[in-house]
Amino acid sequence: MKQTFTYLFLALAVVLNSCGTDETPVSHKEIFEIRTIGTLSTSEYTVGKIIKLNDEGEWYTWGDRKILISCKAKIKAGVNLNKLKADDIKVDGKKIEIQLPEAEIISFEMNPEDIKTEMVDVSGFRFDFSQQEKNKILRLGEKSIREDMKQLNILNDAETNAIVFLTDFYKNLGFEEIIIHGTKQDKRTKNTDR
Amino acid sequence: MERSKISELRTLIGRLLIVGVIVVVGYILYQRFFAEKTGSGYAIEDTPLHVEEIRKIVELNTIKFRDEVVVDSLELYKTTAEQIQGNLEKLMDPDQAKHGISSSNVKRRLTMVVKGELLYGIDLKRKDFTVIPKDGKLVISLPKPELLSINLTPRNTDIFVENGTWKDYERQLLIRKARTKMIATGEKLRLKEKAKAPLERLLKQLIRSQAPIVIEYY
Repeated sequence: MKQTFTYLFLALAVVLNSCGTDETPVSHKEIFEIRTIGTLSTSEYTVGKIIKLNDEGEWYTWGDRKILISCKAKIKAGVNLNKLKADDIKVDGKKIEIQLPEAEIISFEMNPEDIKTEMVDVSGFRFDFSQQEKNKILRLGEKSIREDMKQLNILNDAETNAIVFLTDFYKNLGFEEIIIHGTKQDKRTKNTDR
Repeated sequence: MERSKISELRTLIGRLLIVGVIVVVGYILYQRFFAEKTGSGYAIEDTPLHVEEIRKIVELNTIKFRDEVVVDSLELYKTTAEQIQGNLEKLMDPDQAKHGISSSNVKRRLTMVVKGELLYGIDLKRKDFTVIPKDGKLVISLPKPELLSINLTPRNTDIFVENGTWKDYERQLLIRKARTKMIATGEKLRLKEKAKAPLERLLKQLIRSQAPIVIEYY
């Protein structure tokens, strides 16, 4: 009897509360920042990764959840020409000598169209992954890609390509001897956080 | 006397057990229905990174535009009966229970805050540039500045409200909407045009010529 009353009370509470409305419009205020830069992107890598997660849950949950997400990231690297100081470019007649700033990651993009949930397996009393959870898993995937990026040759490629481009550029301007120095690998930043 | 003491002890142990069971069940229910799921406990497996394509590019970026937009998708219950039924159904789902308790007329709502970075400049790989000395001047012919990169990542995407069940393609649709809004804002702010001045400054800094430099766009 008591149980019936409890259920009835709960149902009534929901029914009465259902008269409420919640249509608060979302503010579409734009927040932006414009900065002038001077970066030369010279190398673009497209990489793919499979994000595997096995969520065994807490001790009080029965069953587990598994998810496989495939994703791609497009990474552009190059040099920041704004970092060139006055004494980094030495001109002597038809000879030019440049000390190039170190190569860095210019942009990192994970296009939503290239993110696909390949498989989801939910067992026991577990519930499917919500979009919020999937976004958290994708963030871990992104972090992992950024970590793995350190093993790629992207910064070396970017520097080599920048040297090739600038050599052609100065040849076009009429220079006959062009010497461009790169940054030694051990002096490069390991930061891939762009 | 002895028997009544044993009986009292049994009752005490029994009551303590009941209290213990209530505490454990309460904790489990709280964790399942109300606790904030941070997801920090997730650990993904270490899988290799596959390099799919390597491209040589030549892009001179001169404007970086950082934008943050709010995108929202909202569905309301059409009738009160549908609202009551829908909210009762939400109460059965631990992830949705908090939305069911409030019993609002919102059937589904997904609100996202998306931060993005747009790079504007010139693409010298696709389009050529020329340097021609003319009448004692250096005439540089360049392609018009354009939008070169749109950087959106999960790290910069926040799901602010998730009420109801949403599919992947619906989330992606909202991200695409955010992207379109960012591009539109960039257009409104005439960033392609604004990319010209820093580009000219940068080229003049690189060229170091005694002759005056004239930049033309084609």
